[in-house]
Amino acid sequence: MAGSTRLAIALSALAYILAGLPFWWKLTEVYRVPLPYREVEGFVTKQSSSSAARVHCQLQIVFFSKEETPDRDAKWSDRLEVVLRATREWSSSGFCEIEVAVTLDAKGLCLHKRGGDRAKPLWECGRVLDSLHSQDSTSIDESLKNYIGEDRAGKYTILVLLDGELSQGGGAEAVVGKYRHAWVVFPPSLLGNDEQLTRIISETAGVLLAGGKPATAVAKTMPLAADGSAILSFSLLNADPENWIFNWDFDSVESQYLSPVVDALAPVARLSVESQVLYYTPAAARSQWNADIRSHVIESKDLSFFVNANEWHLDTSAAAAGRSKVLHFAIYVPPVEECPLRIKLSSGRITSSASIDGFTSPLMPLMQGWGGVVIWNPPGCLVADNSTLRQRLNVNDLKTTMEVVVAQLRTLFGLPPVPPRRKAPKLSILCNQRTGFAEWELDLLLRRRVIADVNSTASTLASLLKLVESLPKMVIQQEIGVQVTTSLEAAEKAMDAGNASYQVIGNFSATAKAWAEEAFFHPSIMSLLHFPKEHQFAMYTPFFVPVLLHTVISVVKETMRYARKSSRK
Amino acid sequence: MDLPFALAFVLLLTSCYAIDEDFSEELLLRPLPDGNVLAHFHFASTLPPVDHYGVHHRLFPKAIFQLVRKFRIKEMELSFTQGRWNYQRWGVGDPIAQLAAKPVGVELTASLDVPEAEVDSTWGNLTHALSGLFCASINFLESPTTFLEPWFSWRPEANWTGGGGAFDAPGVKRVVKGKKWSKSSRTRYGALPREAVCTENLTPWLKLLPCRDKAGLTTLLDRPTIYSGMYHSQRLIITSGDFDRDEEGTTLEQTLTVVLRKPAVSEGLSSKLQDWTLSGLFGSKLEGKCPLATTSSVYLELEESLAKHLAGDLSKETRINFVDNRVFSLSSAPSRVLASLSGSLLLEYEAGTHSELDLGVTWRAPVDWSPARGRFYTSRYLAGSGNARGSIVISFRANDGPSGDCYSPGIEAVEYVDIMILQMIPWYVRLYGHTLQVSLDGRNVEFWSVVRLMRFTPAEDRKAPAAVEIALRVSIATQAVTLTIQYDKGFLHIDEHPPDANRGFDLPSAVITFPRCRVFKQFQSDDVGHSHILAVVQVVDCFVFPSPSFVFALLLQSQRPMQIYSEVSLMQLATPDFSMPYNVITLTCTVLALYFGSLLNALRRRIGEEERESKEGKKAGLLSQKLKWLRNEKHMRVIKVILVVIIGVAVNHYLSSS
Repeated sequence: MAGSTRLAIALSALAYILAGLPFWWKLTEVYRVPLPYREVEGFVTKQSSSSAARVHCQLQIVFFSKEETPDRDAKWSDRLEVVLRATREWSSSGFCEIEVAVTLDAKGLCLHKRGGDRAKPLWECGRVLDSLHSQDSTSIDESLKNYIGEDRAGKYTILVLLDGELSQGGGAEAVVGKYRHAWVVFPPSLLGNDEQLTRIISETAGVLLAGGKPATAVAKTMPLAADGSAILSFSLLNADPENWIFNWDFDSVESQYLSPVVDALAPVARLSVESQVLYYTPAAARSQWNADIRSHVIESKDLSFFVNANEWHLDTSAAAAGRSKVLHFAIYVPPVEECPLRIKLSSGRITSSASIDGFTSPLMPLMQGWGGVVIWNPPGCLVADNSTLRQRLNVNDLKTTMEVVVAQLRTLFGLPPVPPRRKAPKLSILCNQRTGFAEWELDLLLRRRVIADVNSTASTLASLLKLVESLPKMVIQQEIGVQVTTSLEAAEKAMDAGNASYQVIGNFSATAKAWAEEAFFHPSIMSLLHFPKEHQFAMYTPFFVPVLLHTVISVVKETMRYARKSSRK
Repeated sequence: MDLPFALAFVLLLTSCYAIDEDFSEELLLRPLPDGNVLAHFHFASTLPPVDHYGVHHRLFPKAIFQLVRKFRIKEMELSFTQGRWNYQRWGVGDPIAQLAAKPVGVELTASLDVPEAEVDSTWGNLTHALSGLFCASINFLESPTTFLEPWFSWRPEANWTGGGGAFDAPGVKRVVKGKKWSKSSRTRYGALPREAVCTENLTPWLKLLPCRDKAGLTTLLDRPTIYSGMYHSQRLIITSGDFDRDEEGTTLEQTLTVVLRKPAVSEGLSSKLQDWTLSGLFGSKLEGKCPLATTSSVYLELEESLAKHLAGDLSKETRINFVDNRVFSLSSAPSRVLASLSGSLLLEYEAGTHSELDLGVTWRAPVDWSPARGRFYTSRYLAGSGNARGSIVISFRANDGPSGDCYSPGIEAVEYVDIMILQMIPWYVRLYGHTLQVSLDGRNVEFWSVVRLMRFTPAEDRKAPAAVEIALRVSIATQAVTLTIQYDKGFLHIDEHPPDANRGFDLPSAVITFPRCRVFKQFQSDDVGHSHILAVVQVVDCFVFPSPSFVFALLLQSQRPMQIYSEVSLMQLATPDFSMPYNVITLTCTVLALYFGSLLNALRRRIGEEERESKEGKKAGLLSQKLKWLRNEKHMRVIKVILVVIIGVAVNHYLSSS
């Protein structure tokens, strides 16, 4: 039929272009490794929806009595049940998935009650405990450690000593030791008062499991880099070396005060220590002379200006590889015109000490990358006449300073600077004099880090996938896929670890976080090829606009013509 | 030379490590013959070995120590230079000139104590760390096209200058092939001639000093003054014995050399020489010292040929009035005067003792003196024109006049001069090895009659630069030596051009070493003592090895030979039109679209038929009748406007959404 040839020509030109489309699509496609979208989404919702993020803990409460107890079995059974229920209130604290077992270990009587349904070896009744009389808390702590025996992260014991002679003043008293146990001295005469008993036990359990704080939904992030490491950088700042020049024996300070802390924190964080002495580093805040206490005083509101970013060249560390974190601890020696320098707290109290010699005052401008600042006033604030005083601070000079530093470190990790005491019920917490961190505190920190790591893994992976989705032209390399999968697997393993040791769980969570960060900061993502839409227009329009115009017009015209002709016939 | 003196040197050279950290600051001022003033700041920090002293320091900068530990740096030298050292007017053959003269831009030499296979990667990491530390683009040196491994030029262990080395057999061809020479060399050398140097590089450099610029000599460093001078070179030298020689600790030397413009014309006696004072030069007097420095001194150096004007024979005349004599007068009296064996004088002022030091020189008589120029005046230039080929010429011309600082008294003269050339050539300059030519005094000579040793590593495109090292030996009577080599210019990818491609490409300086010419200066003072600058100045006075004295030999072993840097040459390559790719795309596409359109029309349209149809259509077009109202021009215009608006909105929406 006449005219159909021309229509065929026009259509074939269009068909040719249409046939080319899939090839064009395929050829301009970029390599994108398939990422586990659904799995990550599932993991994120699981983490955010419930308080599922927990690590297993085990708590055993043992009522111990050398004599026969006055009460009957049935009464004890009820009492154990009450205690069991009371401790459940702490089950959501301290990032613990808790299992409680309560035992009565009295002469000729052994009763067990347990909360969890898993088969765990129970307290072994009838072992002989040496007399604890005439011992102080520290040595009782040591003896009980030997008595309880098994010492494993995540397993805690509260020993309720039903012994009237141990208690001072005849009342109930609880002590949390520096290992993973606590003991409650409870006179048998008070046994009738079940409320008091459950209260003191649950308070003790709360301290042991969660540091005595109620549960917080979000784990506070720790001042650590993605790989769980941080550098503690100590700087001795001589504000004005014209007057006096101090340096320090940091080797000894490190070995005596810091190494134990660093070693103790090793399961939680990999810390390293470095030091420097800097000169000409005045503080940016001015002080005022207070004649009453004969010192210069800085108002607490001025403290945020104390750190002089222009003159304190604390520097990051070349030893810090990649994205590791540096925590600066500055020990500030004021110039002679400003000595002694003290801080007026917001409560109005001026930090002071009995003598003017060697005085430190903590202040914690907890900024990013900051550990803390300590003011160290030279003893007597005297300058030797006419000559520059050079002095080397030794271990003893810096003892108080380092105590403050450890307290600052505790605060950075989210613990109270010093373990608090409570009056009612009477509860005290023993300090670990050597490291500053009790074992149960370290467990708590580790649990918190695991949860924080897993949460951050979830959010990092989620935002990575969101980013990947939003940029369809971005190349996603094989490596990123592997990293995401590894990270997700490790995070899931950390959460489903069950009864694995804390060390294993900690490793899993650290791996998960490290790989997630690695994937997020992958160089191929960072250096995303900038290829805006305008360029695509510029590339395609010169050819395709004229060609398509011709083709489409010809098809339309030919179709109209064909239709006209065929209708005429 | 007497024995106690010799012993003093032995002690100085083989001294045991210090037991404590030490910091010293020194400033050397020297009036230059052209009226400008040279100021050379020298700061040195020393650190005892880590095994003895530990890793916590009170003076040594933490950043540098960590750098040394992390990259296992045995030796490192980093320089930032702006301006060109004028060898003819400011001197060659004295140690300060040796320290001061550096090629424009950034130069980095590092010797690393890491396994052979890791040297390049460690070097890369080191450049990144340094660029972070000094706010400079030193990380560009990571690219393997920007650095090389010197085979001869920085090799203390390869004693090729002495007897028994490769220089021994005259007339024997020696092209060094293979890796024999490069074995065990863990030194890398790289230069960035383009790098601009400014105050942001100085601030981190000052941060490494314990007093920064708060006290002591650094208070003189007024930024506008030092950057408006004629020459500015800031260096950082690290030597660490922690990795192999555990008797030595780590030393950090920081030097800053500035050549300050002569002060504005005053009523001086000579039109050339101008009176100057510290406050006039730097804008402030010197007040006090850095309380942390063990030594804090200012030196005024009078060169040999200037000092001769003071007295006929310095060694006999010791009672010269330095404060006021017939040549000049000084604003304050020096605390000590040191005279070198060759006759130059060093007046020492201690910064701490003067509450306020404002050293100044007032000229009394017009004097003229010349600096130690060295044997040859060296220059390098590019010959040829056009964008295709050219040649590189390195020429040496004998300096006229008494340049003979290679003939120190008492040292036996030798009939020849050794010259060592190290030249790194970027890969896009394609050298032709067969065109290498040497001419002596204008006559071409047989290549291997003067070349003793040669290394020629051809470039690899985008991977490695060409490295040429040539050792020449010419007679002492030679007046001119010229080396030429021809090259073709390569083409670069469009993305390999720097941002301002039309400026041209910098050819890094050639490093020219005179291995037999060791610069050296000795002082007749018993107490050269703690001064680091003096330890440097001791190495003045060019003389010729082998020397009769073992003291010299000892010094030779520890000191570098004389080095000269050639000019940085600018080479023009064919610069593309950077919008070309888009132009090509547009042009090709337009031609193709035109072709396609006309082809389609040729296949489809029949002109005659269409005309006929359009006539018919006017009568009884079925479709056109239906769309009759479209024929109305008014309607058509409205539709066109609407269409344009729709297209515009669509495009705008698409662009804004992207």
